[in-house]
Amino acid sequence: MFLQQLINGIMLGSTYSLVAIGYTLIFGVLNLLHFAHGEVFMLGAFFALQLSLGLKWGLAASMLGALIGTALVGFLIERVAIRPIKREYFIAPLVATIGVTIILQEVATKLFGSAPVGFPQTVGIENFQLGPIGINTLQIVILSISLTLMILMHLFVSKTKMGRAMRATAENATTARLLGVKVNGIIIQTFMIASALAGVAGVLVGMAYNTISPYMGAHMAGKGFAIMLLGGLGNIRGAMLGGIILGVAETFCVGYLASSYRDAFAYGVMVLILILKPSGLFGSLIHED
Amino acid sequence: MLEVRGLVTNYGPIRALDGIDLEVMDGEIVTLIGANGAGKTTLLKSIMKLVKPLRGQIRFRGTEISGLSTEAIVRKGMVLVPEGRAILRRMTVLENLLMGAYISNDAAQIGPDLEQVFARFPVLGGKQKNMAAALSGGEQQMLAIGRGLMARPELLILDEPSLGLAPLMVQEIFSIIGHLHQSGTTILLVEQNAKKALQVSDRAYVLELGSITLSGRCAELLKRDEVRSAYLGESA
Repeated sequence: MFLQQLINGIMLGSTYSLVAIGYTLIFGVLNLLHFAHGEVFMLGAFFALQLSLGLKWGLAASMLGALIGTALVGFLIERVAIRPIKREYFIAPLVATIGVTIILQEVATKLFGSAPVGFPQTVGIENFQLGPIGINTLQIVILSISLTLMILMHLFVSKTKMGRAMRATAENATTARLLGVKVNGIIIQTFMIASALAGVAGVLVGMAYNTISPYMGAHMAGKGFAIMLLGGLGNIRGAMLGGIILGVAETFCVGYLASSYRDAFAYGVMVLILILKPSGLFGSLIHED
Repeated sequence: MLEVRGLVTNYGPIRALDGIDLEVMDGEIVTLIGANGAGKTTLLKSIMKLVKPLRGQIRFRGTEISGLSTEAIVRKGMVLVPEGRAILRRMTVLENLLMGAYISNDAAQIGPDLEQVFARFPVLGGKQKNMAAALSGGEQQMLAIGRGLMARPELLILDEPSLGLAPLMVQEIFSIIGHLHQSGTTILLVEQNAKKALQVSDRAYVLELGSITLSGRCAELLKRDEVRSAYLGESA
C-alpha cells in the first residue's frame, strides 16, 4: 500500500514538476509570475486531442505536435504580451499575463466547448505486478516521459552553453549582457522551453485522467505556482523535487485520509514548509540586478 | 582604439556626464580617477550602453558604436569587468570562465585560453569546481578579470578592481594589471586608489562632477600639486 501510493504520487507529481519547472524558469529570467502558464498546459492537452482525433495521429506524433504547438504559443505570448511592456512597471507584465490567461481560456471554450471532453485512450493498458506494487503501461509511459524530460532539462541547464547563458541571465541580466549574451533571445528561448514542458504535461494529465477541459489550466496553475514557492523561486531542481513532493502528499492524503481533502492537504503541507523555510525547501535563487 | 567625443549622460534629472572627451590608444593603459560620485562608473556604463547617453560619439577601432547594444559592443571586443566583482555567484569558477568565452566562436581556443588564465591565476585552477560565491574577495576579483580575459578583449575596461580588497591583495591586483599591460592588452582602468593607478598607467584623466578637469601623462600628473592634494592625500 505504502509503496503503491508512493509510485502513484511520483507519477502524479512528475507532471506537476514539468509545469513548475516552466514557472520557475520564467520567474528566473524575468522575475515574472507567468499567470497564463496553466493555460498553455491546457492547450497542450487540446492540441494533442485535436491531432489524435482529428488527424488520427499516434501518441508520439500527437505529443510532439502538442510540444511544438505550445512552444509556439509561448513564443507568441512573449512577443505580444511580455516584450512590448515596460518592465519598470513590474505590475504591468503580471497583469498582461492575467489578460492572456483569460483570452486563452475563452478562445479554448469557444473552440472546444466548455464541458470536459474525453481524452482518447492512446496506450494499450497492461497491468504488471512487481511484488506488492501494481503498475500499468500508462503509468510507465507517463512516468518515463516526464522523468526523461526532467533529466534532459537538467542536462541542458547544467551542461550546455545555452543552459549556462540561461542561468547567467537568471542570476544577473546585466552581467549576462556584459558577457555578450543576447538576453532577449534567452528570454524567448526560456518561454518556448517552459511552454513546451507545460504542453507535454497537459498531454500526460489528459492521458492519466482520460478527460480534459478548458478550465484544467487554472487548477494546475495554482499547483505549479505553489511548487515553485515550495522548491524555491527560480530553483529548477527545487521545482522538480517540489512537484514530486506535492504529488506524493496528495496521493497519501487520498490513500490514508480522505480524497476530498487532497488539495487542502497538499496546500497545507506547502504553507507549513513556507512557515518553516520561507525561501523554499531548496533555496530561492532570485534575480539580482 | 577608443575615442569618446562630447559624451553627455543624464541620470534622471541630473546631468551626470557633461561633455566627456577621452581617448585610449592601442596598447596603452589609461586610468580614470575621480572622487566618489564624479561619474566614473556612469562613464563606463555609457560607453558600454548599460545607460543610454543623451548625445556624443563613441568610436571603437574607427567605427561608431553608440548605436549598438551592450551585447554587440562586447562582441566587437570591448569587455567591461564591472565593479563589485560581478561574478556569477551561483556558478562554478569554471562555468564563470566559460561564460567569459561565451562570444567565442572558436571552441578550440577555449582550452588553451583556460590554461592561460589558470597559469596567471593559479588559485583559480585549484578551485575550478567551487562555487564562485565561496571564493574570497580577492579570488573573486581574479575570477572577474580572468573571465574578462576569456573573451580575448581588444580593450579591457576594469572598474574599481581593487575596491574593498585587503592591502596585500590590492598589491597583487595591480601587479596583475601591470603584467596584462606588458603582454599587450589595452586597458582602461577606473580607480579610487589614484596613487597606484597613476603608477601603473601611461596616461590619466581626472573626472570631477561629470567633466574631465585634467588629463595627461601619469608621470606629469603625479607631480602636480592639485593632483597630489586632492587624490594622493599629500599636502601641497
